[in-house]
Amino acid sequence: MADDLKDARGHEVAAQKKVALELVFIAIIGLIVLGGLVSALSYDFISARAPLVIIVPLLILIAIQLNRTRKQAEHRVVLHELTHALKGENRDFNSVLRFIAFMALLLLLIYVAGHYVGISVFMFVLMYWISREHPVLALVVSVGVTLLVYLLFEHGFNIELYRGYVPWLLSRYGVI
Amino acid sequence: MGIIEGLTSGLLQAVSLSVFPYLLVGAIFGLVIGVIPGLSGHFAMAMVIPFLYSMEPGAGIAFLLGAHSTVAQGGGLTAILFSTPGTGQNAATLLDGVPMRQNGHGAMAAGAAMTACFLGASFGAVALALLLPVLQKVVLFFGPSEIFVLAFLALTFVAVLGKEDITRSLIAALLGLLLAMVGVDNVTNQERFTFGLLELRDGLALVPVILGLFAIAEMFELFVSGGSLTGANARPLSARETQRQVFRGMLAAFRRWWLVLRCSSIGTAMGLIPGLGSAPAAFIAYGHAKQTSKNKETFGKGNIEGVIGSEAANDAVEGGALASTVAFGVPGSSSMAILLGALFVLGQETGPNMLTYHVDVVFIMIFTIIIGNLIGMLGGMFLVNPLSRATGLRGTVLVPVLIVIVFTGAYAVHSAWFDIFVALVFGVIGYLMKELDYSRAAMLIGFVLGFAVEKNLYLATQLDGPDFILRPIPLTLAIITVAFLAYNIWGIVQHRRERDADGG
Repeated sequence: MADDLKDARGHEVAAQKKVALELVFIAIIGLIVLGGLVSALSYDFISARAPLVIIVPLLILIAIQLNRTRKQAEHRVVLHELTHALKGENRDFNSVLRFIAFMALLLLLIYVAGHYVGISVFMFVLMYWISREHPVLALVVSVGVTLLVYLLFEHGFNIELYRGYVPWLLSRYGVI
Repeated sequence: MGIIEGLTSGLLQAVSLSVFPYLLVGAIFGLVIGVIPGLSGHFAMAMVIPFLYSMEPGAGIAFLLGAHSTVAQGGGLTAILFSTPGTGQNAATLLDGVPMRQNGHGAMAAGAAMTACFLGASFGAVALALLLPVLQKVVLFFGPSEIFVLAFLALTFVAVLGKEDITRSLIAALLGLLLAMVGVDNVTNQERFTFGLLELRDGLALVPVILGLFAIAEMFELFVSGGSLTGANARPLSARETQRQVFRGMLAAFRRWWLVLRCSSIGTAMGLIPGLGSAPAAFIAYGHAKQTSKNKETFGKGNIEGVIGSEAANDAVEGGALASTVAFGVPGSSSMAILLGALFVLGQETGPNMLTYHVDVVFIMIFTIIIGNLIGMLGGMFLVNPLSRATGLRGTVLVPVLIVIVFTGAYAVHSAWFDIFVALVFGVIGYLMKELDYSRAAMLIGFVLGFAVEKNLYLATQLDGPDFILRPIPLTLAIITVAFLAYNIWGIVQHRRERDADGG
């Protein structure tokens, strides 16, 4: 009986977490679309016509959905969940943020050091440091996949992948 | 080009040395992706798209559809052997596939499922071929006004009939349409929603959007869930017994040809309706198989007819879904939206042009589906055990590797670093949409159709004036759209009232 009550409470909290996430998601989307409306009003009639035909019903639907989600929300719990997440105490949310940060890191690595250095470092870091895989496995997979990507794209498809800002800078000053 | 010429040319191209190897690689890739739980047919197609830029149209289509056509076969395999459907469309297969495995007939069910998939897909492809002469005539009645309204009808169907909530799906569809408006307007040369970014002047590139919505979003889930992709019971079967059972299963599917035919017809017919998809078709076919069986009571306890019926319908859907995509350029599902995007990448134009002058391309699709499924069936026949080992791949190794391939693919399309950023942003959006039950399919279809919607709206107002919607076909389609939407909304309101009354 006590376990059942605990389970039911757990489901309820999970549902409220989802409600909190949706409230934030739909509010952000709503703001972006509202910005789009303001922007579209300044366009020529021909250019503004199609976006306005889409934006007006979209804003109505967003308002309906926002209202529906708000009705489902237990304000106290939702507020608690939001503060919890912002303080970094929500494990799932942290996990998602961590993953986004890793991908942003990959993006930055590619931009600075080039595609090949970026992807090999990213794979190694994610496998060895984050997922605690065996270092030999992490190294073999990182180097192997990088080599495969190089052969496939540079030789197979004749596509030169991004060499990176630092190599470009070094080549400009005649270092490499 | 006539139908017979197109058929011959399509067949010769599909089996030629410049196309067949791509089909083979695509089919094996799809089979492996299908086996891995969490990775769907959309994922397989999204991963293939970046490679299409350097391919000839025939090879590109074969590679893409080859990958797509075998995903369900791989998914059926894991659904039966490990109680984990590799893809959502294999969920109905669990109902009898798992009890068969528990009764010691797992490999037999797998053999039957893969054969039913092949037969169903072949039926759907042949149905599409038979529909071609009709489509060639019908499509001539569809000008800009008709296509404009048809696009909204298709979006409404996708939003309403999808498994997600209607309001959320409509929001997703309209957001997709709006995203297509980003960039310089072709008519007035005015920048729209670019925030002054030079990279957005040409609009959002299709490939990074697809990769983000369907590939990166899946990676999020795998990363967050972590660990192995399957349950602890993922253990290969003994080789000899497996082989024997697989052959018996295949034979059983051929023997029940009448059931395969009926369930494939259900699948093909449902494929013609945008938005329904494979999963409902599989469940309806399962229900039909149960209703018409002499052994109704054994369904759910391990009846092979349940597996055959659902898997045949599951794959027959593609033939029907291809019809509206090829004829009108209006995709009915996310897979078809990705295919449409791929056809743009390959420089192919759908609609009357394809059906009249490039009907061989349609036949390449038809033969690719048939041959791809045949490869999947043969692969499954001999590789059940090695394939089942793919489920043992750890998410911790798979995720970094797949992300790297996805990012490389996003970059390679236009050699633009910005496209990787777009893929990342849409990955986050896709993940949130998946978590919150917003239809990613509706958004992608909206995005793909957005270009056509605006172009056809402009042409319709220029050619037929502002009251173009009052022409017979657009008016009929508009009435169907509004009536369909109103009927479904009314249904929801009624349902809520009844629920509230019960609660009160």
